[in-house]
Amino acid sequence: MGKLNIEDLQKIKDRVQVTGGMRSKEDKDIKVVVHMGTCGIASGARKVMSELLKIVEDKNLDIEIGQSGCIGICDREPIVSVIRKNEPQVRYGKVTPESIAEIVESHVIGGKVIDKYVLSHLPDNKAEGE
Amino acid sequence: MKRYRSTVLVCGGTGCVAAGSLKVYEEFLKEIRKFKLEDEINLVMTGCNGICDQGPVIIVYPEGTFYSRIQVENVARIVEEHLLKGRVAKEFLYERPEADGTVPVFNEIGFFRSQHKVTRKNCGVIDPRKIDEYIAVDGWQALAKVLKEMTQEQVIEEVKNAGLRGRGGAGFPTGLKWQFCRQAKGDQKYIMCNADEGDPGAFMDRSQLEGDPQSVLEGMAIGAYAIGADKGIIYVRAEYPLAIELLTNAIDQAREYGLLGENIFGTDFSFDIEIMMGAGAFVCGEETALMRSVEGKRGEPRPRPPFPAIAGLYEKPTVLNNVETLGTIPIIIRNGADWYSSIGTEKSKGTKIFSLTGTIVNNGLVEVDMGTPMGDIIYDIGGGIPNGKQFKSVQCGGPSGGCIPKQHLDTPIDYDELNALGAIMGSGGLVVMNEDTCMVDTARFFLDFVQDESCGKCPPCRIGTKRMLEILTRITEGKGKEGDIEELENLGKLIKETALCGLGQTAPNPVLSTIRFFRDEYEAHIKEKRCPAVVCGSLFRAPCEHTCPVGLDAAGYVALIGNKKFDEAFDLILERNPLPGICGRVCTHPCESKCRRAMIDEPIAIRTLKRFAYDYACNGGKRTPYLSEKPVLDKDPVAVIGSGPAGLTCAYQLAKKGHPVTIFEKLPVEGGMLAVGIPEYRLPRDVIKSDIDRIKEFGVEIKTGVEIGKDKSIDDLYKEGFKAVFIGIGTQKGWDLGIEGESLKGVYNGLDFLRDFNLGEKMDGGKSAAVIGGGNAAIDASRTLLRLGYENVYLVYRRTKSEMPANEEEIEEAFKEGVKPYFLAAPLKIEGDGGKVSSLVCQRMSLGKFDRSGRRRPEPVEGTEFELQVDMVIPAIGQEVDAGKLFDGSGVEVSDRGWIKVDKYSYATNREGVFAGGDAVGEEATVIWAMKTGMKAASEIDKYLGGDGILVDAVRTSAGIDEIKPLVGEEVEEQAREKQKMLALDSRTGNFDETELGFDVETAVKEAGRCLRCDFGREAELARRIQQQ
Repeated sequence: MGKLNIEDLQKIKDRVQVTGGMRSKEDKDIKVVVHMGTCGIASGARKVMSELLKIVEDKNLDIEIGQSGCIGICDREPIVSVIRKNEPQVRYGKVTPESIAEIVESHVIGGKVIDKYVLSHLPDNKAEGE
Repeated sequence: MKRYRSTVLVCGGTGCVAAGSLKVYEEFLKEIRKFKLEDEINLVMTGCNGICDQGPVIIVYPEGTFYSRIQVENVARIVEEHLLKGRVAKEFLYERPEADGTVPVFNEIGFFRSQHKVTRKNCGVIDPRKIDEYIAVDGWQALAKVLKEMTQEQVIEEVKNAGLRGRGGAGFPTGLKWQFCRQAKGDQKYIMCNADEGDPGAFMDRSQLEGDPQSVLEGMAIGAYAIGADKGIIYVRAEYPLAIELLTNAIDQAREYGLLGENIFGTDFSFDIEIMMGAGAFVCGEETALMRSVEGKRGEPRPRPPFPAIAGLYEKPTVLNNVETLGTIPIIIRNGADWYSSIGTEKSKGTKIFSLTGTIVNNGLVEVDMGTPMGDIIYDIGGGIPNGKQFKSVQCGGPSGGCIPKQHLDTPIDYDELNALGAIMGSGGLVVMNEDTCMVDTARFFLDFVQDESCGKCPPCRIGTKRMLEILTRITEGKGKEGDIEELENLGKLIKETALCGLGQTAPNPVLSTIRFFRDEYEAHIKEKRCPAVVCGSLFRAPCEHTCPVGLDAAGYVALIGNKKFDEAFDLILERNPLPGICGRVCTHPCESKCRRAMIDEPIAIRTLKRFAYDYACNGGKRTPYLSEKPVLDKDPVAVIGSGPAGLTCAYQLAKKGHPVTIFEKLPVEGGMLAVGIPEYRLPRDVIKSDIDRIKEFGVEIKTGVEIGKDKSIDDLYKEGFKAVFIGIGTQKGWDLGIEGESLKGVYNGLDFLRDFNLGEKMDGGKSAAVIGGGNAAIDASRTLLRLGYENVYLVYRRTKSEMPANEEEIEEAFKEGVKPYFLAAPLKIEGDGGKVSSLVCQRMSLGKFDRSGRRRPEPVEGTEFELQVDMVIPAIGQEVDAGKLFDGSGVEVSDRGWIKVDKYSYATNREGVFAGGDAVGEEATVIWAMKTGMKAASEIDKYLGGDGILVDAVRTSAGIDEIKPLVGEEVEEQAREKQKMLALDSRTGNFDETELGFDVETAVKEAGRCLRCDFGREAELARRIQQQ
């Protein structure tokens, strides 16, 4: 897309789906977001991300993977959000390459939240503050 | 599927059923039907929740409200309040045993719950690498609105009306700055973004740039339109590589979409942005220095005016805004000034982002409404202080800011309120410090930072901060001298007034604010060569010794015990502490609170090891009295009033210096509160006797049943030949509750109750009693009642368990033994029947604002009265001096609150030769602190009477400790602290047998072997320094 005019903003808005949310019908049913601010990367988010990509490839999973910034609670990094359609978004804290495997197996594939790793449940798919 | 408005889960686990949950379920069913809510409320019986002792447990969704211990009679209220009116029935909420009152919401952590994300709304939600995602959350709409609908003046008006103030720290109104620049004449104008975030511990700007870079670009574009600029520059530190990468990417994408560049949205507005990387000099955060740096010159500030809005970058009109300020602009334009200015306080609008670091549970970035109390950020969002430590202060605004102590936790986040406290909003760094932080050392750290970062252009900053740093360093090394504090204050004020730029003008703030709130800590370093937080390593041999009020060489006797030199250990203790049997049992052991071993696993059980040394020497082993010869008592005689720990210690140390001492005791027994306050199950009477007998062996005489002020006066003592007097009369009068019914029979003040019982009075065996208070007296009274056979002993306390002032071990034991706590409850009135107590009416409290003690103030909750059926009520809420006629005409001055007025270093009263100590002077009310005051007074009395005042050599006289190598090797393995044996719970009723049973030889040696020996090898160095002083 070249230079935008004002109307184009709305067109993009209608088309695009934000990484950390679930809105349109074309979305994949499951999204996994790795939060990759400096704090996240410093605590190992890259390793988690590459492990996640490897698992998704190995298992040939039909899910969307995204990355986003720091959500503020830096000493619980790396943080990973799992968003399943019509379910509360779940954030996991202090994720490791080992625990991401468990999270994918149990929550992403099996639909079962692993409570011991949970940082917070968001009441719905909206971001805080909305 | 049928949908309900609310779901009520009643726990049907075995524990809850046993506690009556089936009946509660029936009652809910009945109440829900009564209000015809069946179609709205889904009532479910669930399996066990796992928190069985709180049963029956009720959880109400969608809120996740957690009610505990719900009885049938509570159900109607919950249904009416919560399900019908939608208000949480606070009085039934679950109280977390470990802390802070009530937790209304489940499965959500406070960290997010109490935040209000406005500027940071997109951070962590959108992909910062994709401009489309920013557009999908209404990004760039604000610029579109501005270009389509608003004139430049209207944009400035909107920002002014929003009340946005500069988030870089100084808080200048953003709209006004824009207006000045717009009005300035110039063919070329610039808008700049200050991303030179340099405060230690601050990283909110970096996170904004990394998480939502487009918002900053859009904010700059709007600003550029408003002031008439076509060029923007972002000045960002080179040490933020990810931020730079994402910003560069964001700019590229915005250019591709034509959101930066020529003729944006087809209008005649053109604007572009470039990134300049800074080398990380702190001073380049100052606006004029920053602009010099961009120009390629040396980053030094210049005098203002002219302000950059008139003559900035390349002497052209320039606006410089902070990242957070710019990131907020699009939201203000989109949502309107009215919306934005509805958030916050009168003079500080909107939200503020803080980076919360230091000793706090949740480290990270938080965004809160202006006006939020500081305490809410620290406790609700930050989760409080980890490891059971106490909050001490929070440094707000980094090296330019100041510290806020616990008495100001209720301060709202607001530019002007923070300034009034000597702190600043700053960029929003909050460094939380706990009790283990030395404020002098903290001030030194920040000053070291600014001194290092000073550009050197102006002398006040270059030389002044250097001088201040030298003084501070000297103080932390134990070389401080009288006048240093005043010198720091003078220099600080001078630098503030005369430095060229913000760096210098704010550099003294950390020093001035720590002096303002923690002057006593500076004084301790200077006058006593003591670091209360045990940080400044030059001042001490080992933390345990340094923390002990009487300076007991704990590391030394622990080392001796570890090497089975038990008699030597006992001797070493007796040098300073004449009451080892007593202290080994009831000391509040401040030494253990700073034990370095706690950094690995748990502190050394120092108190129990001291007890072991006593038990071994006085019971099992042969007794080895300290000093083989009795001192020759040929100096001036001294009278001591009161035979409590303060008086006993004073007398003992005076006798060691050759003074004949007579102690006058009002009561028929010796020992003061040790004998009539502390119950026998904690402190057996033969232990008191053996410790006191040893003192008497030195020639100290104790006359019981003599009340000074009644039987004779202080003047009479002088007439009898005493040359000095020490007063240690304690606090013997308990406070009344000040509520209705206190004169009924069966109301017994805690202190009177304990004293009368300990003096042998029979206490009529009732059935139920309520004890009011949270201190040691309350716990002692409660446990005594249980032993007397009371079936129900309720402990009513208006705050929560974590705030109880009583010793933690005592609290635990009391609850184990069966004391039933009612936290967050306060007595309203005592009901009587025939002149006798029949019940206590209480009211539930909830925790409100922070008070001067740094704790949340309990506030009554209307309509939550409840009644406890009791035949005895024991108030134990505090105590005061009961001096009788002691001070009448004595010339000894007493404060309004009844404390004896003393000099806090010498414990001298205003009457020459008369000294005072212990609880009666209104300092810390513990046994060991009383002993400290007695010891210090003894030294001063000896000096007053012509002696040298030296009670114990500072250098170890006990031979051989330094030859004992630490038992712990280089590699320390975790090894749990040894626990002493306890009397079985079922053996504790009907008798007053001691509950703690101490260590046997094997356990004691093993425990002593855990000591890391912080003292090892420091003796010679310390001795040298003491000689120098």
